[in-house]
Amino acid sequence: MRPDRSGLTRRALLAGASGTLALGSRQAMAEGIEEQGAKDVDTSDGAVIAVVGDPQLGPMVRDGMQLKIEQINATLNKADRSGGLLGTELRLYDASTDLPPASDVVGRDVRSAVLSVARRVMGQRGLIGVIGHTAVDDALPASITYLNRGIPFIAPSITSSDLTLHGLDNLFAIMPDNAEISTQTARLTFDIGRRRAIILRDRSDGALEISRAYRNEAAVLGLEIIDERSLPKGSSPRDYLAGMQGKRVDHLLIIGSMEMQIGLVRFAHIFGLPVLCVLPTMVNVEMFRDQLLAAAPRIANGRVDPSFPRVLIPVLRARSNLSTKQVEWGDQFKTRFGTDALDLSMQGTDAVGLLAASFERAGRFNVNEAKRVMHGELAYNGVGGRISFRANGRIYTKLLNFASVRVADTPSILYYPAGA
Amino acid sequence: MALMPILGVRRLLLAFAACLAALLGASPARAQDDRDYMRVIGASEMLVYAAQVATKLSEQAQRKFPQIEQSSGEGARRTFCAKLRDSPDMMIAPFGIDKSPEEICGPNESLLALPFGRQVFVLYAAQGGPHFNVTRGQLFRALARELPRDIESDSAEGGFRPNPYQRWSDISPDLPDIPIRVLGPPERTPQWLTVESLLMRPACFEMPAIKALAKVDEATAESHCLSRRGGPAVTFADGAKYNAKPEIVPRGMELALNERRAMLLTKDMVPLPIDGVEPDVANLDANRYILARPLIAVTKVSRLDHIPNLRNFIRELVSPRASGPRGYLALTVGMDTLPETALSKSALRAEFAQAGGAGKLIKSGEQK
Repeated sequence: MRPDRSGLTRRALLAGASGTLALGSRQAMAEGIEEQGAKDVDTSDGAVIAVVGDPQLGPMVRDGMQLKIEQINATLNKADRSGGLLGTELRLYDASTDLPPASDVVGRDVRSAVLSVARRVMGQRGLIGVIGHTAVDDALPASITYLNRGIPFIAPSITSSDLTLHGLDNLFAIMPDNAEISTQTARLTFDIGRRRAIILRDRSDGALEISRAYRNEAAVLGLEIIDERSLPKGSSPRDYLAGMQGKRVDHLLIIGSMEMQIGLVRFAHIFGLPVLCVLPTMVNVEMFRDQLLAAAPRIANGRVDPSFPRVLIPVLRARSNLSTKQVEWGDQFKTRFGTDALDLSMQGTDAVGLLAASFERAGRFNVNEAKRVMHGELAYNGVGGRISFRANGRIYTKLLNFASVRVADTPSILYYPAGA
Repeated sequence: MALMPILGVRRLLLAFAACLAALLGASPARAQDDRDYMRVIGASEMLVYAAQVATKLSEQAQRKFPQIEQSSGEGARRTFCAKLRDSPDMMIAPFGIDKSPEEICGPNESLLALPFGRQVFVLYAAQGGPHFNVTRGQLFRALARELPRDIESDSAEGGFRPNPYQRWSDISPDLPDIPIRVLGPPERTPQWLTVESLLMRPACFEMPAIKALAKVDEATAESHCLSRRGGPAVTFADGAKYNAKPEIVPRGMELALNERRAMLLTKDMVPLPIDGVEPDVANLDANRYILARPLIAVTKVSRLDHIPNLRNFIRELVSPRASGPRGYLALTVGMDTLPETALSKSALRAEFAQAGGAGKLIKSGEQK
């Protein structure tokens, strides 16, 4: 039996306990931070924005940031100190490949590596913001290091709600959290006429969080959750999918790694569950389609069995329904880097735009003012849509699009665009 | 060390981070996430109005953007009406003229419902295409997949047959002798669901045979009424293309059925009268044109003075500069506007609405 209390609750309790312990010394340290942020940053050699990431995902964010920084700098007139950001040139400090890959982020050795990168970044003169990190386990300790200097930190891709659980003053997450993604997924599933679900998930905290949010929204909408299984690592889908053949369901909610999700879609087909498979996690949809196609069972002439299930995935951009801004940005990105832009690069561009807009509105390079603007009054209109933040620093304005992936006959990706 | 096997390294790291966070000034109040922005939900095709108003407001003043959420009409209603502290504050939806407050959220929620525009559907042809008057019943008979064997019979026993009509003149000799060719929005789009509720269901339930069937089995009657015919008589726009750009372009003898707002994308189209009524301003204002219904912003009265900017949002939405005939909702996104008197009535109600006051739904019939 698993204990009743979830990992999330335990962490909240731990946070509470440690917070209480620290209360006495907090005031003094907080005053120190205020003092740090009260002075304007010295940007006489340019205003620096740092990108921190791992070799797998960091460069994607960096390229998006680079594009926006170059666009801002292109407006700079050094003679009369106009244009740019408050008449100043922006510079990128590149630590986009300095962290270990997200898959390796376990244990204390990683923490010390992360902190060493974070301290190095903090040593940059003219630093006005940090963008990056793709795993909550490295982002959270690093964000505290950034907080120590009062520097705004924007996480472009982390969906775990652990990141914003503590309400760090300097931390801004521009990707919806797992609960929000799951809620929006439940609504779309309801809207396309699905009413009865089985939830299959792995045993991670993230999967539990997604499942709970789906259940909550299902209760509001009247979606029926027929069954839910948390699957131990290495278990065979045969053990539980065989028992589901007789149940009348119209969709499976599959929460876990991409490998697990694809395996379960395949087994759902093998066990004759001709249902929509809903995967409420953000993935690269083209890569997912290719992997699903490779895993799909074949019939005569190497064709994929036409009854192979359709898969529904949330995405940031609906490729069939790009906004004018997204089309222009995609063209600029391709011209600059020679490749098609990924969603993560768009997040990088928007993160720089957001920072720049905040300092612009603050009217000076003061990190406290910029954070106040971001928390309290900004509705930045980025490539991916509007960005405003909850009090805990998580974006609440992102309407997700959904991709419907089918690999039978002609592999295709159709989109349910947000607001269409 | 004894804690390690129980909590794991990851949890210890997070606990450590939490401790530091508390030390360094993370505010517990922030973690609780008291909401300082409004939430508005609506059927997806309604959200363009909310987004326009929110954009104007955030341009005018330094204000946070509302959380704009989408669902189908029914999904939006259920989410809006959920008895949760943090449910949406406002719903934007098209309603029929017979909706009462109880039908939206039940009797215990005090609501302020303010009409601010209209959703209008039109049947149209290209310049030089066919132009004739058609009734709602005739249009239904052109679109339905199956019809009662004896339409005029008041018995449910006769059963159904596939739609036999191939030419408009087969439906009625008054109609032109040209093949039935109608293009419509894709199935399951909000636009098609609106066609179902404004056209298919009411026209179908007018037939005596369907009335009789509905008395014994309403669900079967409904499913017959909402089944739509396939090609070549009736074809539907491709879902992906329509989602990207909701335009439907008829050619030659074809007619198209679509939301009038989408006609902005399709220049030089000619609307056809339905039941002899053209979809012009006079007929819309007099509620004579049947393929139209009001757009209503429904707000929880109890939230009006607690949610920042909610009242400002409502004021802006029902103001002439937003929803008037020359307002930006008409000019930029093609919203069909209400008569100015109806709009000022909404504005007045918005101004005087207060928690504990009369938060009754205004029926659209009252708008004149």
